[in-house]
Amino acid sequence: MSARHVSVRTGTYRDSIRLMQISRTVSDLPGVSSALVAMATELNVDQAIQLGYAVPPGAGGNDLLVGVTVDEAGVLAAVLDRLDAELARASSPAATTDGDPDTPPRTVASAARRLGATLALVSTPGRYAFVEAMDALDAGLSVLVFSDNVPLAEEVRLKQVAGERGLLVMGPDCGTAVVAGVGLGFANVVRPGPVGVVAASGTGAQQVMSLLSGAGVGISHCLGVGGRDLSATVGGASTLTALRALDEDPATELILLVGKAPEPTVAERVRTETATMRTPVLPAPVGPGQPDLTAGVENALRALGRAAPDPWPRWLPERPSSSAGGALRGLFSGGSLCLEALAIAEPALGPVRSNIAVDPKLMLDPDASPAGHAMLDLGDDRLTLGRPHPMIDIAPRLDRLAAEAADPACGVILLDVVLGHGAHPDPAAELAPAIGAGIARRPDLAVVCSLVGTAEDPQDVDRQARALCAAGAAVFASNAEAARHAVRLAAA
Amino acid sequence: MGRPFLVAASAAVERALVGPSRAATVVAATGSATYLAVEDDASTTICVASPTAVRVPCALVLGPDSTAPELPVGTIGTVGRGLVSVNASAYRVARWWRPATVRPVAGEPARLRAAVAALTGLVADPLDAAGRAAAGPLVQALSTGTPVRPAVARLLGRGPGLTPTGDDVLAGALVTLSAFAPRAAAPLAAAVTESAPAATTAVSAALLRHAARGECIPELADLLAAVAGGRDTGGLARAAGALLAVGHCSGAGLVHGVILGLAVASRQTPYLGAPAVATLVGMR
Amino acid sequence: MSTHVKRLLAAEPRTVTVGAQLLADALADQAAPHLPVQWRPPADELLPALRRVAGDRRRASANALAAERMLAARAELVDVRRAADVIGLERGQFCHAGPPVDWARASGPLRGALIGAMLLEGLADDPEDAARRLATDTGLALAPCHDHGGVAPMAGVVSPSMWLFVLRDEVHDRTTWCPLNEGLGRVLRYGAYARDVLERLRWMGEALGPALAAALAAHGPVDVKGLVGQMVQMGDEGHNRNRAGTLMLLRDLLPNLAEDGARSGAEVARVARFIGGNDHFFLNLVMPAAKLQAAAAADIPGCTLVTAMARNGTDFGIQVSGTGRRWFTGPAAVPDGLYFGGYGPDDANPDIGDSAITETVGLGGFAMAGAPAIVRFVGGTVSDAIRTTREMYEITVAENPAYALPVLDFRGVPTGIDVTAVIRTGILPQINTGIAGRVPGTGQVGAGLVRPPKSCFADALEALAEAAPAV
Repeated sequence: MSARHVSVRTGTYRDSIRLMQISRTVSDLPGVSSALVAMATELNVDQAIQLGYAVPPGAGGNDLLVGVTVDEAGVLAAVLDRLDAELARASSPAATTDGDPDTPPRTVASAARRLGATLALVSTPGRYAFVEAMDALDAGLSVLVFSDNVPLAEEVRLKQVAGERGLLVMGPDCGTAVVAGVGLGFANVVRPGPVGVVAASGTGAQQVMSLLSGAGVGISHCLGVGGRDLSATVGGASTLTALRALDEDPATELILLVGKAPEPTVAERVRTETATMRTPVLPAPVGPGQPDLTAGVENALRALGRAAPDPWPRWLPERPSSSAGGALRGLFSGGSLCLEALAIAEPALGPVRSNIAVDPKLMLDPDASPAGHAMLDLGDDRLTLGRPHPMIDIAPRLDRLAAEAADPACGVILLDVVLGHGAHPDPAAELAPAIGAGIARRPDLAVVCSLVGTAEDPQDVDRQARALCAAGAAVFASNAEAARHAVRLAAA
Repeated sequence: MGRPFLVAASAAVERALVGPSRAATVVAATGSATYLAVEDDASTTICVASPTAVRVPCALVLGPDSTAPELPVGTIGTVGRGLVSVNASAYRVARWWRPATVRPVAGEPARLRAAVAALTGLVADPLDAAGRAAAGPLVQALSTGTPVRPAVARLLGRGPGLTPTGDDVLAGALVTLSAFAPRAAAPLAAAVTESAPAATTAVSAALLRHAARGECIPELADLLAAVAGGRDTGGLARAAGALLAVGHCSGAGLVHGVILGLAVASRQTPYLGAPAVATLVGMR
Repeated sequence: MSTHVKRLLAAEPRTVTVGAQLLADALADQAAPHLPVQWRPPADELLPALRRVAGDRRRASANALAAERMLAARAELVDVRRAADVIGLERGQFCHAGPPVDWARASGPLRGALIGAMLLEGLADDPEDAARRLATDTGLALAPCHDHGGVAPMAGVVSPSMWLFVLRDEVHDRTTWCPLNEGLGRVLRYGAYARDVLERLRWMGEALGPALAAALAAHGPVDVKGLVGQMVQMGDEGHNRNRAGTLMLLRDLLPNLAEDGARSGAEVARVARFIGGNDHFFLNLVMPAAKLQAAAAADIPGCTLVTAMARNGTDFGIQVSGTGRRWFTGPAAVPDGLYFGGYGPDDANPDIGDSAITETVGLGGFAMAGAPAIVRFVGGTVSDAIRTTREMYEITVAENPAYALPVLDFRGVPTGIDVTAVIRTGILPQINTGIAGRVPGTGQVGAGLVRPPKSCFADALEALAEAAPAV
């Protein structure tokens, strides 16, 4: 049974060449015996009538006339859908406009339209980040807020809005993420694999991914949620979204939850969520009284039936340090790595001062020279305001390194070196000479490095390790093992 | 040799890329993609592709702003240790991506039949008469569990181009069956992977090997997801439209393969009874 | 589970970056699709307001609704009638262009036009008498055209006896109006009030208005939106060039004019010659069509889109959907352009007229890419015109498929100016405009380009912030 469709659409002007193209496309569809898509000029209306279409009266040259005849009534809906798609295409924003150097995009929304984007990466100074991130959400994008110093109320609002719209907010202060193999922020090069990571800690996630990578296990996605996500105020909003997303992701077989332990109410919510999930979730928490990140990774490897390297890769100097005792001084670029080292050092060494200490009595003034054991997180919000992150700019750490080496009370210096996209292109080139100079002046000084990176990172992890080691540092792929080594030296 | 081009590499060809360096020969080159056959045990073929090229499962995709030099067929280079080197240019793996891979999914027969009906109206059958004559027997063999090899032999290598239309139909059917009828997919996968190397181009044989593992271009995976999700006629038309836009007529071949696979998966037998399949086999 | 996040994980991300170049470079090093925003920080004094408005949860859906309405609005010419009948304007009441202004602050062209209208309505004996009365007579009343739901070009003075085009948007059940265009040169809307100006206005009232009304009645409603869609594909941008639109209108109505037995051939010929000889005749239909689009988007709480840009020769004013009828004004600038022989910038009056309603909906300066023939007239090259239109996409939220620009691959004109985008980018709307003489009675002295004062948008943003709940 053949069927006919005729309609007049007002306010839909298209030029005649485009309409002829559309007519042709529609006519060529199987099952279509004739199609006429034209402005309803007298001539076209006459032609339509001659073709047997009952054109409604009142159509004028500024209206669009559509006539379609199909062999089989059943295909008409599909044909008209295609016609609508073609008409819409005739006026859709050109996808190619990103190739216009004269007028670069000036807002996230504009860039999103041009690129057909799915994600925004916001790294403006913190006070501007909210406006840009909201623009991304308004454009229908999930967003990674790399910026720190974003007010808590703005974080809460971003996550509320994202929740309402089914989008994900990573951050604020989200240092790393891997989405479908693409690294964002400070990102190590990892292969696709079965482990999904949800991380409230950037360097914690980098440590976990680097260790997994070293053990030959790949990553499906790593979704950062920001250091405050698991606080009672934010309520784990992004953590829950990320967990659900990874549970639905066919490539993810196991989920690692990396970061400080959540506040109790949030922990309960996370537990409730994970209880209903099909994908197993393992914690890799950081902080006092918690097992370390390396232990979390070893747990995950066991769950996957893989053996953990024992020990994890390490590069020890030919001439071991002659140090015995002295104060342990940590100089970290990664907050979670600093926290992990603190958690390992305190039970063995007693109180350790730090600018990220939980106990206010142990709070370290970063501007004063410390007495006793101390660990400084140089990536802390308060120290990065208006300056580059210490993973990018090594100079502040070189200054600290020289100061600690000059302090006779200091016996052991513990450093982290984090590789990957976005990080300093060759940190060892700057750190190794400084370490070498320190040890040359103070043969009793021990320097211990944790080195977070993968074989495919642009800095070449092995070359970095050898350079640091040659300068006299003991280098460990596991930050926890590095911290234990340093503690042993300090306690000796 | 200048700075290497940075590429995003498919994890499906990871072994050849990270393994020891081996010889590789340029076997085909289009404006936007260069295919190299690697001399490894798995006869891996890799494709150095521009970012706008069709994302085949063996692609090494160049960055948005880089234009790779053209490489004539027959040029010999090396592949391995994360690097592809041919003549004066080198391509370094900067990250990995996972190719679209369909997984078995329950497909309600009525839903699959509705999809067959919706898709059948969308595009003319790209196969020639002999190809059409082979499609019917293939559906019948797959539906009844009888040997598929004779029908496969009539389709493999049929038609012009880098991926002959007959191969596209087989690839579409293979991936569709991997999703909706894995048991029917197995004999077809075996027949195709065994016969393809001698029967068609090296590139097409390689892509059929990927199809046998359920690995395909994203447009095909999207269409199958639309079918599995029970999308309406308009939704299916949009997804099929995106697939139809692939290649000169590869998209049409793949869509017909999908129809064929769906016909089998929806147990639409006897196959000549339903008008949709009648159209498919050229009896319209 | 959210399909958005699922989709995010299903495919390689396409990432917009804003901020550190280093992180965009890291994506380039991974051969990952990305596009950096050329970002610059907004003014710190506006940052609190910007953050508050950005955090207004009503905003995204309010703007989407406004854009949808702007694009869905229709515009049909349904009637031609006297202002007294259309808006109930009474003797001694006058409409004018732009935000509210009184005689004391009125510019030369507006004063000239008001004097002319006084004379036309028989309210004064001579120009001096008219000026004196306008300055002192409390029985006379001035109000913006926008307050009466209409628009008018340049001085925009409308008095009860003038004839108006009446346009309807059936989709949103709204009516608007605009007076008939008098032609080029020395005309009332540019502040001229000499005898010939008044004679022409009288003829328009006695002959042109009734003739058009009769022809329209015979023809039935004219789809102005459809004509505008065609004119932007024929080299008109709908503000400074309206040639194709004018001829299409004439094409549509001329047969009905000719068939009207009530008029002699000579009378019909004069009407046809008058319309065809005035390339801007159709401007006065583009403007109300634009007003219908903008009005459809008005009064949506939380919406940050501009719903009117208008000038009275002294002030530039904008209205914004989320703040209703409130005007945000700043000093009108003198357009930068080319002058007719004998005139120069010293003769120019600051920007004037409601015609920037066309830019408010993506025509005029926003559609410059489609009007290559006039780009030199307003100072520039064809590539400048294309760049101008492309730049306007940066401050707008939608593209109007009904008004598609061939040179941009049939991309729809940039529509729906977002106050927050203007403040964030520092890009001000581009307006094409005629230039009126400063001295009353002079008329048009040139044409050129102008941008609104930034303060209008800053003030609007502060008002939107006050109306938004705290983050």
